[in-house]
Amino acid sequence: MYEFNAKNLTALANDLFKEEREINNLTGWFIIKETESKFEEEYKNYSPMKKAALKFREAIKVLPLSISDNAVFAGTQRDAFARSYALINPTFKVETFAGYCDPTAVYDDITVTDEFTKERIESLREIDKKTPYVKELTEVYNSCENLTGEVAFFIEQVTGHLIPDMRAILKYGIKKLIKDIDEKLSECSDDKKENYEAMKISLETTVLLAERYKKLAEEKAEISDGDKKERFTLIADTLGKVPFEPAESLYEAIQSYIILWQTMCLEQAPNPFAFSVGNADRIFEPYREISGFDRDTTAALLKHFLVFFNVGDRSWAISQNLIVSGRDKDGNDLTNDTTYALLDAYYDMNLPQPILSVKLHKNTPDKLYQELGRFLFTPGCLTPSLFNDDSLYEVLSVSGVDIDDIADTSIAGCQEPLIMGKDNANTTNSWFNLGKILELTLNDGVSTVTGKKICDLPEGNTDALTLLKTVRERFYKNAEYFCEEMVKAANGASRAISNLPVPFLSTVMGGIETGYDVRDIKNQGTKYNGSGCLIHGTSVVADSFTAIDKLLAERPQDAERLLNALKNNFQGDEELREFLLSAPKFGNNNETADNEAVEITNKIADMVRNQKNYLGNNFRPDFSTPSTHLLYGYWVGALPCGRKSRDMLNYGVDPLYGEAQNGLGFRTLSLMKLPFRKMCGGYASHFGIDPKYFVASSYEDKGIEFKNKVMKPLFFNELNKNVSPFYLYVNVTTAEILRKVLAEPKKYAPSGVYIMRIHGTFVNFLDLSPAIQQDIITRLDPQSTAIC
Amino acid sequence: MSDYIYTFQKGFNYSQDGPGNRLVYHLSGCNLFCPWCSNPEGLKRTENSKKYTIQEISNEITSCRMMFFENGGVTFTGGEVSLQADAVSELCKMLKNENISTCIETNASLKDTAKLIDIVDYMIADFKSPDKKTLKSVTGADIEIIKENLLKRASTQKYLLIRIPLINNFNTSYENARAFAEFFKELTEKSKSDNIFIEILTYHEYGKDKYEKENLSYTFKDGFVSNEQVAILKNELEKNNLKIIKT
Repeated sequence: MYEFNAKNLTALANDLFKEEREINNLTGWFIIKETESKFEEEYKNYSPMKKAALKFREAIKVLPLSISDNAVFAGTQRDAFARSYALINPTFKVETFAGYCDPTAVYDDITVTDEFTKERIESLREIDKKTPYVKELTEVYNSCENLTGEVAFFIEQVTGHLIPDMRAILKYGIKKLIKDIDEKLSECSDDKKENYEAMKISLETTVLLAERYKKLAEEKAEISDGDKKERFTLIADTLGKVPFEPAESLYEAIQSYIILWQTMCLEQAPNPFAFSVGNADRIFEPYREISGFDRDTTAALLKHFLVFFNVGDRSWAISQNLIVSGRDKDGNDLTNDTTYALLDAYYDMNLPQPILSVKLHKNTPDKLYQELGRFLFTPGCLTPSLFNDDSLYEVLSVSGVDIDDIADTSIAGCQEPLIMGKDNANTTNSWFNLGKILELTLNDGVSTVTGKKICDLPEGNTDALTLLKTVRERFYKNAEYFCEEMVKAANGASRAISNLPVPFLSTVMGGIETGYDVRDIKNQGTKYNGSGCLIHGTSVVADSFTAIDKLLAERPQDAERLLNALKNNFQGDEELREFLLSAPKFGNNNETADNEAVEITNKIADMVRNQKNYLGNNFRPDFSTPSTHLLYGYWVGALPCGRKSRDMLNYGVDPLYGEAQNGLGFRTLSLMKLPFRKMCGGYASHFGIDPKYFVASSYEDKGIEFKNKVMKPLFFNELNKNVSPFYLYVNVTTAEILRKVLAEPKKYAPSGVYIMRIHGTFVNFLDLSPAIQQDIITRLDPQSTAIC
Repeated sequence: MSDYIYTFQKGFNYSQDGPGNRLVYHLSGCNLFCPWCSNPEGLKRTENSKKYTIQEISNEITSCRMMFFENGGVTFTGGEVSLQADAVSELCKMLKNENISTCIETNASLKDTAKLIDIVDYMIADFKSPDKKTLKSVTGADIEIIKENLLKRASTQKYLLIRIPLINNFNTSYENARAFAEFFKELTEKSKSDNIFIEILTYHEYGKDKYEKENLSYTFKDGFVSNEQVAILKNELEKNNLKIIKT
């Protein structure tokens, strides 16, 4: 009988991670797609959903599997991902990034070998190009090329980015879900029949995967002895039981979960980015309790769970998120023993993935802040995303979520709040660039970056003075035009991806209740549905309006001069730029500047919220810019706030770097004025905090100090009568420290891993391209977060 | 009276400069030169100092009301706040009308400190050494004025926190400890209230890096104190039933 020993388990987890980091070619996804395409003809007469399930089953039958000598659980995500996530690639360049518009570009991410020859790769690419999905999506991109070329907006089909609810399978086993489906099949209408059959097949495919691993484990047990033999025997025995049968221990629950997760991701190969586990501590706590494991043993097993989320040499399974703690609808704290064990596992392993998020609320016990102190104040250690659960309750209930569902809020991807198993939000469906829209408004639809005519605007040319005097009106009208075009294209992308149904995912997203696929565009497969819109540039546009007002008040004769200066990127007119820079800026608790930001946020949030997606549900305004403040800023010309052409936009709802100069308290005051109530799609905000402001001697006390100096004013300020901010990520470091790490990585990061955060995800700072490293350093923006 | 208030730094802090969350202004200029000073950039009023009219600074403070949670408010520190006592006193009166809590952090070594003593809700004062000669020679402060100011504050029965920067080679002897305790006892008796608190701040060198930028040299050496040295003072204070707190 294998004995769970924390020390041994930890050593195995470390070796397992090391082994994973040595893998630099990912080919499983290709085999899956290739196999599926081979069976296209054989299954062509079935409905799309059933065909997808049948083809997927064929792929799982042949997918090469293995179990590492260091494994305590069987399963990997490795075969679900391609190496296609640009930002964690050191060769990534802002200048040449063109979005992920070409769904067949992924075939460039596989290394040509004797096995995967150029012909084999190209042949599959050609087949893929002819699929309805790729054809429709290409048409959509072509139709809006003019407007996306310099990113007035961008759209994409959303894969991943959901939070399955696996709890029913853990508790009752797949057999119970199959029984439920059989019952549905006996009574459902004809249009749902093949859907249910598809879901059933996909559940059976999961069992098939478990059986294949079981066989492998048995083989390994056979040729091993001692402890190792017992370990593989345990894996084999467990997979003989779960996920088909209920899990009855922590070990079984984790093993079951891994197989389910693997199936879900394989179904979306090659890009199941940003799936999230959800409230992990609540999922596993009942099983920990049954097993009676102490904190150390629980943490040790969970270390293997965390390693599972790291794929290949750069942990390619990026933006997969796991959340802990939080409250119930009555405000009771839900932190449990597994919460602390998970934190231990995270801290000890310090892995680049999965992202850790924590829900805080006004009754969060101090112990949790104490335990978080070590994450915040250990250099190069991952830091959790912080959520205000009290605000999430308000924001989500206003947006229409049932109060009983809100405890199950967790985070998909970076910071988008979704309900586990009940919410298909298509979170990254559309991206709206207010900076570009202002640039085009001020230049009659012509790009000041390239000189290209982008489009005829509803509010076109007039004389300079009139243009500036009516700039707000014109900007909002034009924004409306771009918004509508964006939504048309975004819905087109959602329709295109519906050609790839996801029967397994549907079983853990409410599909068994509704009888429809998650991606169905005619019938809603999940309880909640919407489409996301990531809104960029609120602060730079607000500051631009304020600067224009100042110019009109003090030197209206310079209206024409301003427009010319913008066209020339202020070349030869530094004086005017200095004048514009001296106007009040958002982030300093200045009433004029802050009110402008509030107004823009309100108006654009309403504009986006009123748009309807493919099912007639509303879009969700999400004020986050996951590195796109850089990528899209690169396509935005000079703006009246004094920002130069191609410079970054403001990050999320934050002030533009360098503009908030009065320290953390004043910046917090500005932030608190924003209408968070309307940000049901989420938002991003980052504080780069200098560790010198925290004087307590222990990590625990620093955790409390962090609560008092940063979180309390921002999240739990008793004097704030508005909905309080609900998201923050921090990097507690200085530019100087990071420059040292870059100069001497061996000294400061001997393991090769130095974790930092960019937007909602953490990354190994050393894996990033210079542009992204520089972005992290720039946005530490120390003046904006000074504490007295 | 000056119509302006000159500052060199501002920002928020929680519970370390008076109760609750507070907006802290560092006022430019100081009458002393303590060689361990952690804010050497504030020793003189310079062209980098920010100049506010009293109305401007009052408006700024009022606009931050939302951040004054848990009985927070505004704290004026330095430099030395008493160098701008008239303007600060005027400002504090305005803030009182706005119902905003005020606090000063002072070295209490100027006669002008007295102008603020009756007005502010909270007062934090350094008491660096009970030894007249050492105090004068190391910092330039006159102990009589400090004692007078502290006794005056004690007699108002309002909150008074006295901070002792405990520094090796300066104020760590048994005699020092006894003399500290003796004077604080006198203050407590004078106050006839529970509002006198003592805090021991152990020597640190957080400000050391700033000296170079200010073209000053950091001359103080060997100032760190041991746990035993802290214990000596702490025991003496506790023996006299004085209230020691940690902010």
